[in-house]
Amino acid sequence: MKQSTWFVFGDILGNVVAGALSAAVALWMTDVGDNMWLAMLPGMWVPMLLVMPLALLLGRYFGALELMLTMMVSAMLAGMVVAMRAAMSELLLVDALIYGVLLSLVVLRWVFSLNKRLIAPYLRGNDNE
Amino acid sequence: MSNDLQANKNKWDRLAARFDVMAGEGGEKRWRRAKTHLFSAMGEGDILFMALGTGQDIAAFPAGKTLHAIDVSSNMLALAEARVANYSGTIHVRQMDIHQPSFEPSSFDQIFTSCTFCSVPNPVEGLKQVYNLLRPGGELLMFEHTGSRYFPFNIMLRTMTFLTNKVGPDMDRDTVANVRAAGFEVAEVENVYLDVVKIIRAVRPAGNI
Repeated sequence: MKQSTWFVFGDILGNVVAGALSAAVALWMTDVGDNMWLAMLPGMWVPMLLVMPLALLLGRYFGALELMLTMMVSAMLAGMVVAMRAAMSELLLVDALIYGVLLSLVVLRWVFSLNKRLIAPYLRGNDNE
Repeated sequence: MSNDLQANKNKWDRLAARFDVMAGEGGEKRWRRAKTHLFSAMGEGDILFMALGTGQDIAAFPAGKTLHAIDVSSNMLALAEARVANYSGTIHVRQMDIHQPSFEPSSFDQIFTSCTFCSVPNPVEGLKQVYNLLRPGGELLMFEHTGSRYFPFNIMLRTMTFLTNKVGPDMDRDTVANVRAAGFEVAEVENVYLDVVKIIRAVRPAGNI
């Protein structure tokens, strides 16, 4: 496997796991009828802190700093959205997981495009070997 | 050695045995292309490599160079011995804190760092010592991770620093500003990952002694 492919695989794996885990945690922490805006705060911060050790573990194979940054953003967004949604009305776990995974992929796409714009020209090629 | 410097040395000595396991190969492989690109600038003059650690960067060095390498942690350097011995050139290794260098001023033509100034307790003072060790016109070439200007990475990195600086590096330093504050002219900054991991090329101005 080319190294660039390996790292993209790691980014996707890490972010999908972070999104799903955060959505599940945010759903567990939030009850229907909670204040939506207050539920948002632990929904953001608790998952974000929870994914840090997970990012360190996966980072041994895929690069800890890069993985941690994207996974923390995914966790924050997924946790926030699911917590707000779960405060409004009943939300099934499977729906929360779908929200989490989709949001994590959106985050990853945004990070990839921002990164491509910022990095040095010699790193923008197809192969990162 | 002051209490702060001794505490910093102790921190990295304690971390040494777990360093390669914690860092893993993932980060090194991801950064290898950029590091090889940076270290390919090693010339024929006197070269200092700062913060050798367990020697993970040696794999990215060009073959056959002669250079000096320092690290604050003697435990790290003990673990680097095998990698130093396997290098095709010569690396003279010394335990040293950059705040209290034992080299003569203006000893080097090039100084390289790799994820160093995230961990030096007083980065501007450390960089001033680096400045003194370089000959006028000498180059400082750095591979560093820094804070970010972009939301939400700036907040993330600040949050992470609360935890990481207890056991290892700071994640939110403005190393480019620190390099300028130490008196260097920054010639080029290249981003390697977002604006967080970057290569910094700076020069000690030729006129300033």
